[in-house]
Amino acid sequence: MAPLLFSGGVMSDFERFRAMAVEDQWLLERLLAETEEDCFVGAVTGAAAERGLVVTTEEVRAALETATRSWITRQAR
Amino acid sequence: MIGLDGWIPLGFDWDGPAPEVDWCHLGGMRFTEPFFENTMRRAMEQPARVLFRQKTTVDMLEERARNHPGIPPTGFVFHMSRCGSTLISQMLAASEENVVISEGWPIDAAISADLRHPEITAEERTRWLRGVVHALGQPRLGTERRYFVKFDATHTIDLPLVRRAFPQVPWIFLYRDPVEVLVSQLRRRAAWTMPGIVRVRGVGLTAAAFAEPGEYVADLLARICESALEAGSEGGSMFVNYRELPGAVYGRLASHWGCPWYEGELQRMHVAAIRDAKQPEHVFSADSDRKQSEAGERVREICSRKLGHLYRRLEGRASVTAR
Repeated sequence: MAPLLFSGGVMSDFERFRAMAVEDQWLLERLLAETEEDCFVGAVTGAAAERGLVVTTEEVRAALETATRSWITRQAR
Repeated sequence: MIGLDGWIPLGFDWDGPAPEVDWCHLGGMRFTEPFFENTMRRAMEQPARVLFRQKTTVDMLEERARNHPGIPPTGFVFHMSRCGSTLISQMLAASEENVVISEGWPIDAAISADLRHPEITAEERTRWLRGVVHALGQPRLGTERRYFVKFDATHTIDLPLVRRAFPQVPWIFLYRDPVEVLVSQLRRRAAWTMPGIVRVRGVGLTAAAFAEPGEYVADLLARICESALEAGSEGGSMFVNYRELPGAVYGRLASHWGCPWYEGELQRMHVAAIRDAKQPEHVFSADSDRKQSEAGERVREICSRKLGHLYRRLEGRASVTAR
């Protein structure tokens, strides 16, 4: 089985959390329940802190913006 | 092993010689909207789905198809556009026993990979198509037993590739009086009918394509109909005229696909059939007469010259496959 592709380099706490979220169905379901952006960002930083990871709201917002841009690009194809 | 249960491929990303697959968590969400993109837009209203996507190699897509094939495809729908294919997919999607993928992006990414990346072989496209079709055909609720794929109109040109990937799956080609299709396309053009926006296999791009939209769209429709007729000679096919809808879904399509619909499903299909397939909040109203009256002399002349003989052949094939 080929490995999951990471963005490369040393993983930040946010990237560690992202890896946990995609592998942990329960955690992902919990985050999916947050539909409003501010609440979602708070839920991510809170869930990361519960796991001993330091993830800032700025990091989450920046990553969400990048992911949204990639989603918009995909729709335009 | 990466857990991909509940995840579906969204499309391919090309940062190197082979694509990476972009996966999105869909969980128990069903594809109920008229098109794949509508369901994905609904899914992406949740920020977690936007942010927590994962990428894998295309090899992993193929491996997953082998280990988690999902529901084997029950039937495929090909069409010449604006001819009731979305009505069929919406009727099928009305039953929770069916998984229905309508014009899925990742399916196009696999089939059309060589149009943007000419080095990609037909063998690779075939394998990737198998991978995405199986990945999209996973049960979402656990109630599903059947799986239907409605392809893009232009994928009819790639029927040999689809048949190579899924030789056992019975397929239909849906068509309509070309005058009505051309009027509809000229009134509101699909992206693939706009020269230079989407490359269509086997249809050359010339200056005339920009100057004479009617001629160009008719060339595209002719290519699609010719491809269906060619592939239809090899079996597994059924040709269905728009006029036969929605009744054919309950009768000859059910037989062709080996689907005995249950009473509850039939009721839900009936409800879906009275709605406008592309705008389900509206009630469907037949518009063949309006389209015929809208057709000018020029449209009729183009249709007669480029599509008339093909329409007659389709009608002939439909009467054969109806037996």
